[in-house]
Amino acid sequence: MVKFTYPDAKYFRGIIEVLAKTMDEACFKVTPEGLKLRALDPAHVSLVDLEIPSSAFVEYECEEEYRLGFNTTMLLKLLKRGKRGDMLDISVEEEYMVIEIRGPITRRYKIRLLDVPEVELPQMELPFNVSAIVISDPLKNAIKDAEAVGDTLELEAKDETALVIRGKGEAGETETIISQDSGALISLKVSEPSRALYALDYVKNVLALTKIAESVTVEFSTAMPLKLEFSLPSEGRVIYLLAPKEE
Amino acid sequence: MAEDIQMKDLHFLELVETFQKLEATTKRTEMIAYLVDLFKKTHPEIIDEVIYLMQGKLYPDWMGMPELGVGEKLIMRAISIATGFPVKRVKEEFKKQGDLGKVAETLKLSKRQAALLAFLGAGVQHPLTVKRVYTTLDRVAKASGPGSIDLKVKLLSGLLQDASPIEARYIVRIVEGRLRLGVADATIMDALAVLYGGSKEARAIIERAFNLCSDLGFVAKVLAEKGLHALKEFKITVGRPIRPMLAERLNDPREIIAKAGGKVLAEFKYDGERAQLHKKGDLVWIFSRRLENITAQYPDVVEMVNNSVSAGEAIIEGEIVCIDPDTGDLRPFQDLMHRKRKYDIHIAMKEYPVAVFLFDLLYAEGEDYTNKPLLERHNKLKEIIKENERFRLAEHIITDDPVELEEFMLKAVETGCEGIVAKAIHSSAVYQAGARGWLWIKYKRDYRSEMMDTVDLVVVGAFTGRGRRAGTFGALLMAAYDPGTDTFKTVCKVGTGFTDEDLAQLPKIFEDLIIPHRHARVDSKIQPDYWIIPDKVAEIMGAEITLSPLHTCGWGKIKSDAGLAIRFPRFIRWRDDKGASDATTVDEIIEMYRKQLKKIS
Repeated sequence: MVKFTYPDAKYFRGIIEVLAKTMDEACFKVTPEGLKLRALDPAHVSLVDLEIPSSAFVEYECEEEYRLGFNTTMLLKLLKRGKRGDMLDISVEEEYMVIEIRGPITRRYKIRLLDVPEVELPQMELPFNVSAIVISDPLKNAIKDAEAVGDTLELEAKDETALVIRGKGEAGETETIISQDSGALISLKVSEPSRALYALDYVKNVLALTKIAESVTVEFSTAMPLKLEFSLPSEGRVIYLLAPKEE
Repeated sequence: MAEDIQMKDLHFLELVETFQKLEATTKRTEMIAYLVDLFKKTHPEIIDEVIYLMQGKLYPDWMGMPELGVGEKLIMRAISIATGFPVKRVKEEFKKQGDLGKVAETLKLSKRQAALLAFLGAGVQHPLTVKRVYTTLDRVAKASGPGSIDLKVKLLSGLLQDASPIEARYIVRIVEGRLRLGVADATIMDALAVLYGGSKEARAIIERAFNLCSDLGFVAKVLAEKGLHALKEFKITVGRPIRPMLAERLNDPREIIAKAGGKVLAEFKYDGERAQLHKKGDLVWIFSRRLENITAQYPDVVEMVNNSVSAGEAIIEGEIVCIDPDTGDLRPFQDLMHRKRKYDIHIAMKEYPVAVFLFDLLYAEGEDYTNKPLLERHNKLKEIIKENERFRLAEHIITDDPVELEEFMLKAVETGCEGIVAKAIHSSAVYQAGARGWLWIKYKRDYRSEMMDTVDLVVVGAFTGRGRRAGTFGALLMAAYDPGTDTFKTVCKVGTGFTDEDLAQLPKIFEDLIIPHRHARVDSKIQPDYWIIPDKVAEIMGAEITLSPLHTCGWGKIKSDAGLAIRFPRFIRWRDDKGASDATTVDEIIEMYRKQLKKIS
């Protein structure tokens, strides 16, 4: 028996939106400890790592590990029907995932479960030279600005005073400086000055999460992957890891 | 590799190495040896995938499965993502090398790494397997709807990411549809026979199974999993096309009859699309000569099969031809091309209606008819169809007379056909699926004479209209003037080119010209519904002038026992300024025929 209730359908939708942008099919691993998902996008350039502990749910029933494979676009389409404050129930009925959105009225949907092969992925133990905690909103705007001019996002931290976010493309450049005095930068640790490039096409996949999480941990090193970690409102987190782009 | 067999898969590299060897040779014996080696290492479960990939596809063509749908631009994007080089660099490299497969290989060799896993210290990556490549490409092909382009690119780049440089080259070639190894079906069958049977007899059993289902991957899998005896029992399946029997060609009626064993069933060879019609309950499939599934192009034919084939299960063959619904005239082959579209088929269906002329039956009610002689198949065909105007047997005769055969051929050409097919009817005249042989012989005209200009012809008779033309005339019998004998010699029947207004006026125009018998100055072998006094002249255009056993114009001048006729005639306008004796003369038509006469291949 697998059944869990998430307190806010709207937040859950944000998580699924990131999945839908990154991969066509995904698989929740439901364990007694909580909900997990760890998967590469089809191009093997990025990785999504989701963990929501059972304590974050209003109700949580799971006695043994269960795999719930689904089409991400389909699930997103259904969750878009939910409003802020609606509760979300997910359970399994034979070969279907049953989704109930409970608000003033209750809506019930069923989608066919898919057999999504499990890919073994190594644990991430990357050291990063830059580690910053920033407020979501300025980060979101910096990404959107960058998108307006180009296809590449450049991150740079020369020292611990500011994180510089640039958009680069054939059409032009944008620059956002997130510094301690602006209040947008909560903390910044730099063990070695770093500068790295990432494909905006992939970075923008996580924009939905900037609306949910208040702050984001941004970690990177020169010519190394980018790690973005979003804390979810109740409990749990989403990590997004992205390979660097060549110059 | 024992390890491969154990994992019920095959390292993709093994396949790629075989590709390279196959590319390097043109000798069939060597090819067969390489294939035998490969099949030995291949687990039966994936031998079909190996064969499809080798032929640069994912499924047999007739399944009508989606194509990969990844063009040059998208492949370049995928290579860019997989290798970490910007698209610009990929483009430059493509300009230099002109071969995207090589581009992928070169850039992979440059050792840039965009794969996330490499940064995570994933160490040695699992080598690609045939299953992984096949299932990924299958997902690429099946991705549809919004966002599917992006998904196709990502799936492909994920594959290229994990591929070694040489594997990347061949993956790209498969996706591009440019894997041309030159391995024929026959060579693959030879290799299968060596590995699983080792005899001539095995080869024949494999080939027969292939001819009955047109799916070499499927045949190989049955063979590898269940052995040769399972193939011996191989049955026709409705919904899987049978490879068509083909005809040889000769141009001498005497020789044709001799070669076919003295007596033939001769049929019009319609200029349309050969179709294999499968019926199972109310499910209908239509396969083209090249075994593509063309069911979607002919909803009207599907309906005809449902309404007019009484057998619950049947596979029959016929020619789909474009017709003029008002006159029943055949229309040229080009008109059928309007059916080759994906959208608005219902519009094309109205503008280009078709008829089906049936000529063979291969399977009915659980019974395989391919091993039965032609007349038995033909009789069964007659038995299970309800014939009507639009769905009937091909025009045919049974004859042992070369003169009659010749005449039948000319009639076929004049009617709008390419010629005839003469078929042996002796007891061993079975349906040789997938083979070209002398049991069927095409007899087509050697020459054609294109019509370059219009002619002015006299109306000498008329035919009752049917359907939309009830109450008026359906077609007019037209003649040229022969000043030597002061007679009018018929040259065509015209029913096309009239506007509705033209048609409505016909009865009135001819009201006073209709007579109960042939006019004394009219020379005709055709008996129209109404005889008409030669008076009205019309301008007529046609596709060509052809020999005819029916029309009297120029009789015996080009060929004994034949006159001349206009093929695909079309009414242009009335020539009220011309009298009957001002019409185009017989000699002018003979001259037009001679002037434009060209040999056709």
